[in-house]
Amino acid sequence: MPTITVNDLRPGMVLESDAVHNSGRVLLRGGSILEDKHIRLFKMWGLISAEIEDLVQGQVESEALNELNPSILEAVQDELSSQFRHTDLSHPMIAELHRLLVQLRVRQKT
Amino acid sequence: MKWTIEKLIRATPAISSLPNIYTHLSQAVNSPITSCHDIAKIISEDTGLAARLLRIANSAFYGFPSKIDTISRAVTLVGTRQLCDLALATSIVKQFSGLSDDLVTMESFWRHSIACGVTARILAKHRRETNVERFFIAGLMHDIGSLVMLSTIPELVRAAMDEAQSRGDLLFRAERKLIGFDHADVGGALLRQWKLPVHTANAVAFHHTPSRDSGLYTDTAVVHVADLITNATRIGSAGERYVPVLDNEAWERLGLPVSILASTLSELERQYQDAVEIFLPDSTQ
Repeated sequence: MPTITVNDLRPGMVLESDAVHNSGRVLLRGGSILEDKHIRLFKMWGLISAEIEDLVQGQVESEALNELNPSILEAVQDELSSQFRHTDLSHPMIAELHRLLVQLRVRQKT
Repeated sequence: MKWTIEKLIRATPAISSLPNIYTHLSQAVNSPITSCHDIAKIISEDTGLAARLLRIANSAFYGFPSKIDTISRAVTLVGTRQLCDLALATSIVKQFSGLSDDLVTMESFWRHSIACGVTARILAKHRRETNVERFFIAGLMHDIGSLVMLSTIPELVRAAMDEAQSRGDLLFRAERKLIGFDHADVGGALLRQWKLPVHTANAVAFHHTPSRDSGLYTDTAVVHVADLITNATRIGSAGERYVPVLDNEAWERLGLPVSILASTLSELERQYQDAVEIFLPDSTQ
């Protein structure tokens, strides 16, 4: 049951569990099939992530990264590995920050 | 001559005291007999400050649906304590705007500081803290010790920067090695001298070493993580070239899931530009 950030949600995905807002309010019940309007609503509420059925963790991201230009991706990764040299990339927080910055910088450069 | 933190702060006269308006305001806020109306009156006496506070209240920081056009309305909506902290934030940036741009440009320094303040505020919001401006202040001032060092011992700071660069090390470690203390120590001491709340002074003093904060303040953990994120995004710079080391205990103390990072970065992008326009009105962009 991978947790997907709201930006990566797509219509047609199936919620594994309830999508619950910080305040405790349930926005959508588990088992629902996502539609555009749900995703829009999640964003409006500032929901951060949701659990989705039948998806392998990382699949969505790697699909997104595959569409990118490999030479730009490599340049960005080099730049980041120098910048992150003092950090422990196996820590989940650092790993997530690194992953986000790869996406962000590649987008800036394309 | 061997420098100590106390000597250094004494040798930097421009920073020996806090802006009067803050002392005045915080006395009023802490007194049980002042009303919102009194606070609004004190703020309105400083027209520049009043204008800046109104801009903040109308910015993406708050996103109120309708325009706030009077200070008394801002006091009611934003809160007295919060407004007092914001008043301090705007005066601090003004007070330190005249330093030399030799090693680190003031603009770049404040951009980094503002981004860190905004990030700290976003993290505090995710934690549902009641006064998020207190975290904004701590983030905004986290590197203020660097300004003291840059204005009084620039040659030592340059040596530390060269040392950090040639060894690929973190700046605060090079400062400790060459000078005996680092910018976080100086910032913490300065804030204590200014008699700012201990959670703010500690957040600044221990932003590189949160495990040394005996008070275990949330502020320290928030600023530690916010500084790391800001360094990673490379918005502005206070001289550090690398992402600092994450203190796992501080991260755990926040109690936030890693999934908040994505929304934190996008909120930062949204709020940062507004914040720069308010706090650095003279910057070119």
